[in-house]
Amino acid sequence: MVGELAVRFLLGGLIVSAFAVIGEVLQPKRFAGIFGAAPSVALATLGLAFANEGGDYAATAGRSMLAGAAALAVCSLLGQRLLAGAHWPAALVAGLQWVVWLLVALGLWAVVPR
Amino acid sequence: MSVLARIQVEPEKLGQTSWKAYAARFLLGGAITAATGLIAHGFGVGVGGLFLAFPAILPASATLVEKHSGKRAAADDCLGAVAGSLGLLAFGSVVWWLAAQAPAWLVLLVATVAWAVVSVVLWYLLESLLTRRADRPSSQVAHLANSRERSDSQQREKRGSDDDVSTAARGVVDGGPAADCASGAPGGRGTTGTAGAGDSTERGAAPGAGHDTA
Repeated sequence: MVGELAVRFLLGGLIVSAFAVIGEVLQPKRFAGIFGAAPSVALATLGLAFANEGGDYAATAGRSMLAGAAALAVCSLLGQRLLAGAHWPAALVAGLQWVVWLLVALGLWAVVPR
Repeated sequence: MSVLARIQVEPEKLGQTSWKAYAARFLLGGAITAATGLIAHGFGVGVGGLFLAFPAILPASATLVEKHSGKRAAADDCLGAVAGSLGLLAFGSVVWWLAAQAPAWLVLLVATVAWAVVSVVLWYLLESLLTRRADRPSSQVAHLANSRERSDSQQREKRGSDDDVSTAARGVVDGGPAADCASGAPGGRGTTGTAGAGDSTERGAAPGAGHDTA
């Protein structure tokens, strides 16, 4: 278990960093922002899920991911509104985005029939 | 300028970021991926799957963009992430649809391509819409300027044709050849109106170019 966690940590750290670097060197920022919602955690996690648990497990994870992606769209739009319209500091917006993402994702997961 | 031509790669930006920021991203990305595994282990794959779309990069990058390029650029970064998030819906759909019947590498490849295509197409549509909206006030100014030019030109033509009619009438009364010149006079004046319209179009286009704050 510890070994698997270490592999997840390394793989996740590398893929997230790679997408973050791609987003950093691109202009305009509206285009670079696409990489802020790159499938970095998904690629690292699903790669291991296929290897350890099989395709059916990965398919179920992919289905749940839809609620997470919808929540990410909501919190990205909220971030844009708060930064451009209300001029909130980005650090505060970042914290709020995590909370909003968690609430929306869990809310969608609870209401969508499985 | 075309929307796609605005995309640029600026490798020198990498030098502006401290090693601490890179380390923080690596640690955050690694921690979230490890936590996703633990959540799936503890609460089941249904809940764990939600975290495949956890905002691991966006909040950190928005904070960094605000520091280097300002709040407006950070807001633009978030708007781009909306397109990326909708691309993640395509990624998740492909995994859900294909995972049980295709090899892992093919599923992840097709899903990543689907994410990239959907995200870029949505960004293109969004960018085109915002560009059109930014150009609209200047287009209205150009349209008003053109209308004014046309109206001035018509008034000049009307005045000119009145003069020609009276000259022609005098010619008919006098029995001279002046009536043959009636159609020739206003033509030269209309050219001024066309040049003016061109000027106003150029004036109108100028503010639109500066809309991209990123």
